[in-house]
Amino acid sequence: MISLPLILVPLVAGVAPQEDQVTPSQVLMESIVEDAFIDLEAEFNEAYDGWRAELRKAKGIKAKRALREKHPVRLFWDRFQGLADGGEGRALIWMTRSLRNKGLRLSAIAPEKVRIAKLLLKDYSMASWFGDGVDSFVRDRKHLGQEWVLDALRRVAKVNKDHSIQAQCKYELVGLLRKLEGKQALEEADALMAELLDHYADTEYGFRMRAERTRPEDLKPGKEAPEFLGRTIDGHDFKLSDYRGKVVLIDFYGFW
Amino acid sequence: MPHLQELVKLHQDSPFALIGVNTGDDPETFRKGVEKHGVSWISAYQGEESPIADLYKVSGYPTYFLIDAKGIIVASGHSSSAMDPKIKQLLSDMKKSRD
Repeated sequence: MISLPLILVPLVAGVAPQEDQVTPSQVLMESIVEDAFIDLEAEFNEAYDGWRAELRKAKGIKAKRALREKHPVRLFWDRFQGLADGGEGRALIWMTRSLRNKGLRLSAIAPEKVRIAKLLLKDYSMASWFGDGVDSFVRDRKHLGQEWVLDALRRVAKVNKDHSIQAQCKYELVGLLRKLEGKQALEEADALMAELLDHYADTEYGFRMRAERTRPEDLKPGKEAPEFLGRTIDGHDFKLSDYRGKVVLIDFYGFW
Repeated sequence: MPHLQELVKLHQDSPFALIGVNTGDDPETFRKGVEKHGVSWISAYQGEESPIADLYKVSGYPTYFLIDAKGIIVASGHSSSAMDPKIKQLLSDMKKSRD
């Protein structure tokens, strides 16, 4: 047996990372970038709370107006912008939420939201934090346009690898499509709902879909028992409907 | 659990199935429990999560749902022995309609 000498990787940037291996410097750099956003957000939230407290205490229209001119969004804007320019997509989400407090005219807000949303979708739709992006699209749907939001959610559901972000997109799509008229929209909503119930039951949004679909009166005697997929501890899948033709007693239990 | 074993044995030659849906047990507790209590029937294992129990709006344990051969809910409740006469009734109704 040949013994290999132990190679110490120096803890400095510039060492070429090997495939499938994260070097200490990579970890360090990633955490620095990530912390920069989280730290800035925390700093902003603290400043915002302080500003709100001052506003509550301020007496007179003049004092309040003067304070509004000093909204923390205006003070922090350039720093979030700097992070966004450096490739931090979450800073864009902060920016799109803060346009109004920045003092932008109402007529200028919609075009700016559209610009940022397009940027988010183009550059970050595969990001692991993109659940926040999905939330911002749904929240801003009046500015972005229903059709754009629907297409964006369909696209994120397709390209993002995160199971629960896919579920989130599908769940939001069901809600938006159901408000539309037309057979096609309802058919798409039904298909997505079935997908959520079948393939995303382990996600928060799969839960929500199930809970929303079932009302207490749906579980009264005389109603059809809701279909479910069960998996045994050994990975054997079965459906309630496999037992059609038999009298079935379902026992919800735990050994705890 | 002994009652459920009797129930399964009593109806082993009838079109009857007991389906367990376990919630809240870690794998080890579950496997030990299955062995100790002689759970021979099929049982869904949900671990920490509870999609099926949520779907059925289960708020206490145990909870039973009795379902007929067409998939229609007949009764629900927290006592398995209260289900006995109803199960017998359903099975004898099925037998009569076949004969």
